[in-house]
Amino acid sequence: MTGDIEKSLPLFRDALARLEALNGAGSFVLQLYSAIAQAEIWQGQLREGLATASRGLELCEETGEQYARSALLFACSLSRWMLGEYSEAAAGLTEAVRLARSFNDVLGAATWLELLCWTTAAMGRFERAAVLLGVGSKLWQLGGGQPMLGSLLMIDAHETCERNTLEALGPERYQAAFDRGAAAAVEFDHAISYAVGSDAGVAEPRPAAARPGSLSEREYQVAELVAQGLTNKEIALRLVISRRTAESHVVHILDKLGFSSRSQIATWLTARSQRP
Amino acid sequence: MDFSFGTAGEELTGLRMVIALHFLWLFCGHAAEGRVWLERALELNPEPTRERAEALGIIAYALSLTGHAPMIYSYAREAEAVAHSNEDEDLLAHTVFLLGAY
Repeated sequence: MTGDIEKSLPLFRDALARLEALNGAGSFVLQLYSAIAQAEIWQGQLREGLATASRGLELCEETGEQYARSALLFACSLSRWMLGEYSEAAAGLTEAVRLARSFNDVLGAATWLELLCWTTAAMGRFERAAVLLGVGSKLWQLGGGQPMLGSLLMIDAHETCERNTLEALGPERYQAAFDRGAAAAVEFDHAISYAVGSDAGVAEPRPAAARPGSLSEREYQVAELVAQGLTNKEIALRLVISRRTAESHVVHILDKLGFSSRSQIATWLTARSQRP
Repeated sequence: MDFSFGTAGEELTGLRMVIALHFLWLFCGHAAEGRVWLERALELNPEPTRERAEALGIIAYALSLTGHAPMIYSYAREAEAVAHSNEDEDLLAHTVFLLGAY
């Protein structure tokens, strides 16, 4: 990952040829498709990489493979990001991050989310990009490795994303949004829910169902603290109100928005902040 | 694992347990702890077995995550040598991938 890609690609292809000669199938073969695709893409062969990753995804469909699917979705999205096809990239990454969560793959999730940050900033959604950068900063820590896997190419893209987002928002708005993301990401599952919501949205009402203006200013303030993961007691201390008052604000917020859990409030706020 | 590494005759079982936990070490945020267990397992299992080669591959990956680049290559090369001498084509494919990844 730190070495040079021109040397990697022939070795990856060699490994794949050897496994295919052994009639090897399964997850590792499909992960190799992703490794090859990523090497092609970072070398600038965007269309080839996209084709390799798409072929890998077809094989996943045939075999039901899910783990390699998340890496292949990342590879496709990497290409689409470079091609300027941002909404396709974002959709692929959202699915990839959710898949990574289902495997408790913290490092995968951190990597896929990183590209989602770059994509979101490229779309001009800087507020959300800053929130995601905050979530990402915590995810890399939870992943137990070096941020960006130590890859110089990723570090470069990360710094560009950071700089553009900071420039667009100004230091105060940037920091506030970043802190919101970081505060919500103290723990893996919560980080992912906060960043990309939950699967399919079957159990949860769609955020759009709630009218944005339906909360009072005070309730909105409380909602933001809930989204940061504060308990009712902590909210009461922060706003210098009684604990009972804080509780009743939270109940009203849940009622007004039609939600049943505090984490839905966080998801709703994130969705709101995406809207211009 | 601690029991296995502290009991004569149980070292290979310990090695197998450390290998079985590779996903936890590599992808769930425990690369540093994994490295410690892997080093201990390798020290106690010096024979050029398939299990040793697998552990070499896992520790190489763990080190690539935590950024201890110099050791990675020698671990990967040793795994490759084991694959060659055992004529283990599947293992060889994995080590070729490993050599490509760093």
